[in-house]
Amino acid sequence: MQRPIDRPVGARLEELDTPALLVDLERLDAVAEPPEPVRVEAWVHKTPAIARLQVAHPQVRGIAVRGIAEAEVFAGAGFEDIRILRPLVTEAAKRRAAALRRTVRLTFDDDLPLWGAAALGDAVSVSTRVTSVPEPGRAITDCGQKAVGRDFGEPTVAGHPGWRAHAGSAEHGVVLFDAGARPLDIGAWLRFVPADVATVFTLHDRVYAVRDGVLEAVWPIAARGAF
Amino acid sequence: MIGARLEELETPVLLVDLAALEHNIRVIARHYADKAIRLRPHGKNHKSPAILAMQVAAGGTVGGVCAAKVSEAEVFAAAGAGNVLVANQMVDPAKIRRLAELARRVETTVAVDSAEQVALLGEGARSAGVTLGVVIEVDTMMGRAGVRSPEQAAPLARRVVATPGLRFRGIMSHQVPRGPTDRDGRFAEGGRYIERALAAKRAIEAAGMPVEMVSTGESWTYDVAAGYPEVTEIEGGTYALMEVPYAYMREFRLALRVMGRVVARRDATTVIGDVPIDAIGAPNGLPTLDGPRGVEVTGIDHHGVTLAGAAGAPLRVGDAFFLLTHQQDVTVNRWDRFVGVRDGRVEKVIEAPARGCVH
Repeated sequence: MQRPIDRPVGARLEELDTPALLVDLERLDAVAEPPEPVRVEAWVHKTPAIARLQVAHPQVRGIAVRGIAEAEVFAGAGFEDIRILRPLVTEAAKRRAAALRRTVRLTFDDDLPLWGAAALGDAVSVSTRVTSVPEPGRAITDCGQKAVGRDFGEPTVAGHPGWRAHAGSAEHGVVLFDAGARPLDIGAWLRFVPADVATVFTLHDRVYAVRDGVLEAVWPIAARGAF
Repeated sequence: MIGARLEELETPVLLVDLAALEHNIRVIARHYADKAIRLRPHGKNHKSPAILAMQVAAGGTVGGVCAAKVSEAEVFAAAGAGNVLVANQMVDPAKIRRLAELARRVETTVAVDSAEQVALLGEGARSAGVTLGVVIEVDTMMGRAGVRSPEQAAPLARRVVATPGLRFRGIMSHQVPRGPTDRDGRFAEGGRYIERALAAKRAIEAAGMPVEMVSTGESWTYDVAAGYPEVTEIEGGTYALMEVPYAYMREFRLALRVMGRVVARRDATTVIGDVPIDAIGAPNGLPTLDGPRGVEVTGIDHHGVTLAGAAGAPLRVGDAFFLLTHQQDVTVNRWDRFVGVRDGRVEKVIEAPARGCVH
């Protein structure tokens, strides 16, 4: 399990041990509500605290998860209306579903459209720090694909379209910048925006909820690894 | 679960073939049994002190571990690793404090490629009252961290030597052959990378500083490096569990599989399996299906994997299948534990407590 250096609520964003998975609450609040009733795809973030914010929207009717293991985690966190998207084929999985039905409204098929990664808007990023500048135009950071993912492509650098990020290495990020661009120094702090938001919630154990650049809450990604 | 037959397991599940793992570990242990060079098992590849213990018990190792991050090193040190190389740069003073705490408990060495890191590490070591071992990272082919020339290595080594709290030990260089897969081609390419690293080592020695540690590797040059007496150890990780792109190293066996089950049939030639992309990772292309013949992976996303073959594909809903990864450390990093199997039955569960240690 992850063992970051813990920081108390109220800590500044840049003080969080890098790489840190961040969700910006102002940006999350700014996500436009769906125009019709939907089911929110909680498997995308696997985080009960985020799902609680989402089901508070008037248009959201329950959550959707991928399999029985994710359903059990969200049921355990108090969610009562859950759709499982994947068919259950083993007797053991069907027994687990029958047990869940005693406390939860469980469905495998309904007409509600799904609200997926779009429900998170552009709120998600991963903070990282430059650990090496081995040659001009190239900086190495502490966030590789084990912290930001690359299954769906390279991350981008938040706020710096001229800096190109590569997470081809498992443990290192690489940022390339043009000769004319402001160089990055060792210790510089930046944020990577993942190419795919669902992957990044599989890579971290907790997500840091920040507002105005300050840590407001630390949320466990309780369904991480519940494939 | 212990004693269960494979087909009784709930899916998806991460499996390790224990006979293949033991075989792979023996290959390098035997190769190094009569040589001075040692293996430094890389913890990032299996995330598991239990597998590290198997590697150390087999012999031919440094008795310690290589780690990519300080949090990963802590897990292995707490489980008894005798010494630690953090093959990375530390620049955050809070993280360096953590590294210094680790050095209180176990011999700890860390890599640098610039004077800034040397100064930060020195401050951290002195304020904690510990000594940190330091190696110069030399870039020989990755284009990542590391000094770019022997001319940069010697002055940086001199700076380490002159910094109280630090003990200069030598150099490290991470190297991954990407060229020909035949033995001669691999030896030629691997040898070039090792020579580049040794040029830095010799420059440091020529400047009057003894070098006690030359750490190269990944696994794919374990036998190449053994021919260079100046190389003291290789950082080897992938060999233990293996991955498809290096299957040309025929002395090693593919030990890692994600087992899934068919959950739906899409049409006459296509079925859907219950392994989502986040359960295996696919940064280097689609996973490879380990049989049956005539069926292959044609897609994978967050909802599952698509398997397709000729009409009447032999997979039915409920059938198990096995996927091989193209980047094993990325796959392992998504699971808390391995299920160890032998002869089709579960023999033991192997925990991977360093999973997710990215700090």
